[in-house]
Amino acid sequence: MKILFVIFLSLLSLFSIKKEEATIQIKCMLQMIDYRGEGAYFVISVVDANDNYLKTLYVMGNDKTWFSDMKAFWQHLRANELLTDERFYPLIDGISGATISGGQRRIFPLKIPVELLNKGNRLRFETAVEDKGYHTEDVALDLNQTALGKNHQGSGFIQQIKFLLPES
Amino acid sequence: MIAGLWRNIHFLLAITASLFLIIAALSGAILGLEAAWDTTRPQAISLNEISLGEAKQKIEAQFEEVYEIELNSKGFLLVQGSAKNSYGSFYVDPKDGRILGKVKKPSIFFQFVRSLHRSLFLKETGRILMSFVSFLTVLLVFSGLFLMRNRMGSFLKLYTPINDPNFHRKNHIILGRWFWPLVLIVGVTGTYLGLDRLGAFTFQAGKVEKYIAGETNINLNEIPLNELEKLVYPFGNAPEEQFDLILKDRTIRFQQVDLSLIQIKLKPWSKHLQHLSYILHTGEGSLVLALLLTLTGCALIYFIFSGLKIAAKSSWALLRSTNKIQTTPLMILYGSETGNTYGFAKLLKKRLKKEGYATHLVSMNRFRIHDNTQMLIILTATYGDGEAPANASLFISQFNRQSPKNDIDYAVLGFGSRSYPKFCQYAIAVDTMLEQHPKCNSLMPLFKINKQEERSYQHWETLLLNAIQSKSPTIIRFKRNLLF
Repeated sequence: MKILFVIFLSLLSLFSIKKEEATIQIKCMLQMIDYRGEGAYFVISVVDANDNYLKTLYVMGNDKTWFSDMKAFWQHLRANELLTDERFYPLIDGISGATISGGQRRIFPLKIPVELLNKGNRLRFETAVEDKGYHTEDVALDLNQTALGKNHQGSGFIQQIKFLLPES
Repeated sequence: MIAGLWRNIHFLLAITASLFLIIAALSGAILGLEAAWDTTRPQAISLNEISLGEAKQKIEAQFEEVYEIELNSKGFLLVQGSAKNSYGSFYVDPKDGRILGKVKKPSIFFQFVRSLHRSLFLKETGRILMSFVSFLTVLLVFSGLFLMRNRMGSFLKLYTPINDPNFHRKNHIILGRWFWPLVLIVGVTGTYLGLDRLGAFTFQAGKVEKYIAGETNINLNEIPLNELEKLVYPFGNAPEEQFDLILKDRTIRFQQVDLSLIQIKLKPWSKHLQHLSYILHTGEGSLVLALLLTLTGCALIYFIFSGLKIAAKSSWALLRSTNKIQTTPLMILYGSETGNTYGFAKLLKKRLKKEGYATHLVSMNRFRIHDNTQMLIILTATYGDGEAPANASLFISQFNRQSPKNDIDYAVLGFGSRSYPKFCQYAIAVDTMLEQHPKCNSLMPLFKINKQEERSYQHWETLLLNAIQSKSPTIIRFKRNLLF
């Protein structure tokens, strides 16, 4: 009886943790530089101080063929067998046209788990354009309130990134 | 000579391109169907009656937040933003801004086919390959057109009725003369799009007009919705954040507070060219074009299939002429453009062998008179407007330059079609030349066969065998065992 109760409690706590995973939703605007060529593939992830991937927040580009161009991310996918992971796929931006190319910009929401915030982690923007190159850290910023309050210049295909924090 | 040149070019191009062309044509046909299917969805309505301003207002009423309004090349209105607490890209009815559905991930099948069509899954290498195949397709159209001109006599007679007993060759020509404009379009635009993707062209920047903020205002109600490509909303309320309105021919930046113009950037012509190529190549947004493109894909597959069938009969045989000519007293000469006459010549050789005569086959151009030459059986077609087939065109002039040692017996068999006014014209010319030649004696009168009629041929063959035997029963003892 006691054991059953313990199991019940632990199950309950498991569900509640899964349900209650607290996130903050911020808005992000990404402006591309005025390059010529294909649309860019990019992935936004949270990495820790040692560059380990903690969470994938957003992937743009829906043709798997080109994921391998984002080399660091691809390695992570392969190492953790995430390419076949159902949970990974809803993250892929299914917007038609999918990628954005030179000079364009896109606005989208980012849901960041609160537990990753202010822990010395970084928000990494990885970009690749076929035959134009790859940038492991086109933009990288500390994942804290101060850094999210600023604008960030990119070093590759991204010209600028701006955030809007939730009004509270 | 020229006729043979075009045939060989056409054939070699086709062989080089065929494997990739089959892939491109098949996947292209499927993608054409996808584009056609897309146009039949009910969202497609006439957008020129609605203004951008109206649509914008109605859409904003339905969404909590709008980031982007896009009219894609398939004619669908897409809104990116959040509605009912869910962020994403939505199809929207332009009349009332109602959400019709969320944009789903593109079908894996069509994505697979598209990737195959564009790059064979080989990324840049594949892009280069497919662009090259497109270019070869363009060359195929031109060599094919020249080939048709040679056959029909002139470009003006391209669409006159054709008679050809060979089913596949007839259809190859008929389909060719209807589909060449479409194949050309697909080839040219495919080459252009491929090269453009590979960054082969440099775009010049469009002209920019700058405005002072607050002076001229934009009226979105004056812009018809079908002019729209994309309207990108400002990011937040800060005054330095502006609207970017991308229209078919220009990009307009304006302020969000008073809708006053900041700058207008005109689209350079190269962008227009790119757009036109894309529409022509994909058929997106046009049911008729999309279906025509699918048909073109099917036609291309048939061209390859029938082309190989035709080539099996003629081109391989006509190309393969490097082997050394062996000479026998009795020679069979052929003048063949498409391989039919060559086929009859082979048949005759077999028959003569059965009767005990050793012979050799040689094209009329490659024939030279030898000391042992005693008898010539000449089978020739007529090509185009009463002209010689490619591999017989030099025969008359070459023959007249040589001086035979012995007397030569000859017989000419002409192939042709009575539907042409110059029926068997070239056979007549050859026969006349030989008749006037001092060293040549006619074995039997010129015989003409209409449309490769089997029975006429059988009849002629019997006459020929009799003539050979009665004319020179003793001299022409070409029995095989005596020769070897």
